[in-house]
Amino acid sequence: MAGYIGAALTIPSATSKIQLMQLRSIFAELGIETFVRTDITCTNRQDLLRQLRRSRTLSDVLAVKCTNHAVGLVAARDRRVDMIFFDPAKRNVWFDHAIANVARAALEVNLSAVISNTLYLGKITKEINTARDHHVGIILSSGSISPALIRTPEQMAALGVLLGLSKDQARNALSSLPWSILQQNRDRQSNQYIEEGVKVVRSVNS
Amino acid sequence: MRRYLLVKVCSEKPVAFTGDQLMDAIMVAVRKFFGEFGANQIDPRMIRFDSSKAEAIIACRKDQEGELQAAVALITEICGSSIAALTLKVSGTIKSLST
Repeated sequence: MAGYIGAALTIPSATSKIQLMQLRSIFAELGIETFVRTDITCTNRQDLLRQLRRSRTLSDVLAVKCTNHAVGLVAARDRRVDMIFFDPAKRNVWFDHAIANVARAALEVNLSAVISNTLYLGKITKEINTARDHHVGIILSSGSISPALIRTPEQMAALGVLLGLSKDQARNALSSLPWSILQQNRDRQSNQYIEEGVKVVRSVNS
Repeated sequence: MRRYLLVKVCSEKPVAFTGDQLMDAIMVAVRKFFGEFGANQIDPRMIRFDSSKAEAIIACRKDQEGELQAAVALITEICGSSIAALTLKVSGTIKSLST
C-alpha cells in the first residue's frame, strides 16, 4: 500500500486471537504495523460508559460513533475516548458548537463517506470548520470497508484540503495526530504509567 | 509550467478501458467538483496511457495538482465497473514518472 506505515483495524468481537495474528501477518508482510481499534455504538449515556469501561484496556484506539447529541456530548468530554465520529447520512446529529466546546476527543472524518457519496461534502466541511473554530483535533481516516475505498495518503490530504483544511493541517490529520494518539495509548498501557501526567521515570533500589 | 501525475487504476475484478474512457471519468469528476471554471484552471490532459499496467500520466497546471488529486480520488467507476484511481507520484517532469 503506497505510503502507509500503520493501520488501525476494527475487529469484530468474535475474532479469535489466531485470526487476528493471521491478519496482522498479512499487513506485516507489506510493512504496515497494525493496531486494534474499537468502535463503540450506543444510544444512551449508561450504555456508553459501560462499554467504555469494558473496551478501553482491550484496544489501541477507541472511537465512539455518535448516534445522538447526548451520546456525542458525553463521548467528546470523556478522557478515555480518542476519537468521535458521526454518520453523515443522519440529518439530526452532527458535530455542533456545543459538542466542540467540550471536546477532548478528536473528530474523525471518514473519507469513505465522501468518496462513496459526494453529497456529504457540505456537511463534513461544516463539521471541520466547527472543529477548527474550537481547536479540536481532526483526524482523516479512510474508514474503508473495501479495497475500492482506499486512497493514497497524498490523495487523502488533497481531499482534506478540499474539505477546508490547510495543507499542513491535512497532513497532521493523516499522520502526526493519529500517531500521537497511538503513542499516548501505548504509554498508558505500559507499566511505567501511573495516571495522566505521572509516570515512573526511575526506580530507586532501597 | 505543468505538473504530471502518475495515476493507477485498481479494481477487484479486471476492467478493460481505454485512455479516453479514463480521461472522460477524470473530466467528469473535475467538472462535478470544481465546475467549468475549475476545469479550465486545472486544465487536465492525458499524456500517456499504458493499458497493460492500467497506468496513465495526466498533466495539469502547476499549483492545481492538489485539486486534480482530489478529483481523481473521487472517481469510483469506469464503464460501470467499480474502481479506485490512485495517484502514485506527482512530478514536474514526465521522465521521472516514466522510470
